[in-house]
Amino acid sequence: MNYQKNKTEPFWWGMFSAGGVIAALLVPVTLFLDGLAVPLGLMDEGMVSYERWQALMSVPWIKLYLFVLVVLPLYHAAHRIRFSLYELGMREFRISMDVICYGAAVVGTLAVGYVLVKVL
Amino acid sequence: MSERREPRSFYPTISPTWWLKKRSYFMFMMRELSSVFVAAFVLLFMYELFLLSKGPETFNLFQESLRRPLFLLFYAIALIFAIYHTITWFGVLSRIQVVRIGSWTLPPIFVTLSAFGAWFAISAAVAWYFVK
Repeated sequence: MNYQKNKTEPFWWGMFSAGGVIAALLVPVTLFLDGLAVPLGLMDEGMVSYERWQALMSVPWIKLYLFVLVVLPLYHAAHRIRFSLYELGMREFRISMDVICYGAAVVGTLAVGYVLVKVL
Repeated sequence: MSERREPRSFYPTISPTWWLKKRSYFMFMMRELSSVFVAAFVLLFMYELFLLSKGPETFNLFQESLRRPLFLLFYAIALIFAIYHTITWFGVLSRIQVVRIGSWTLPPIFVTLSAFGAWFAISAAVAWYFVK
């Protein structure tokens, strides 16, 4: 690990930080609304139905919200997983750990972008 | 003239269970682990929304399966981890973002408190928009 040589390091730290903010501010409420509000009887089932989500999907900034919500925490997790593996005593594989962790986040970004723009 | 030899890299040996030895180490690892639960949730959420493209039957069937106990357990655990992340993140924020007004420094606790205020406001706004 030579941080001085790696010019991309500040970018990944920045993405980690941005992802941390999104994970802190937006994930708890979204998780609760999506996963727990209906089973707990706090919200009508119709609020998460097919028709409801289709209606929400036609609003452009909802898609932007979803993009930010899903993509940035991936970079946050990639960064934390990378360092946790070092902390657990893992060494580099033949493929650099940076490439594996951040690469997964980049692939996730492309996939999420494709789904939001082209599929939905 | 003796030939200079490359020094061998030094790797400290770390036991893979060092983080179980002390409560603070454990909480540190749990904070790191929170990111995995958060990522798992956002990917599951994205997959759920992706199924909109497969028509109402598939989507509603998956919605129903998300209400099975195993998924509810996942949501509950992920929510606890997500909130733990929020708490630790705002705690660190007050150390990174020092607010100075002239020569006076705002006590760090107020930075954390205002972050919590923003969190409640944003959460309430999102929830209100979603259920209205």
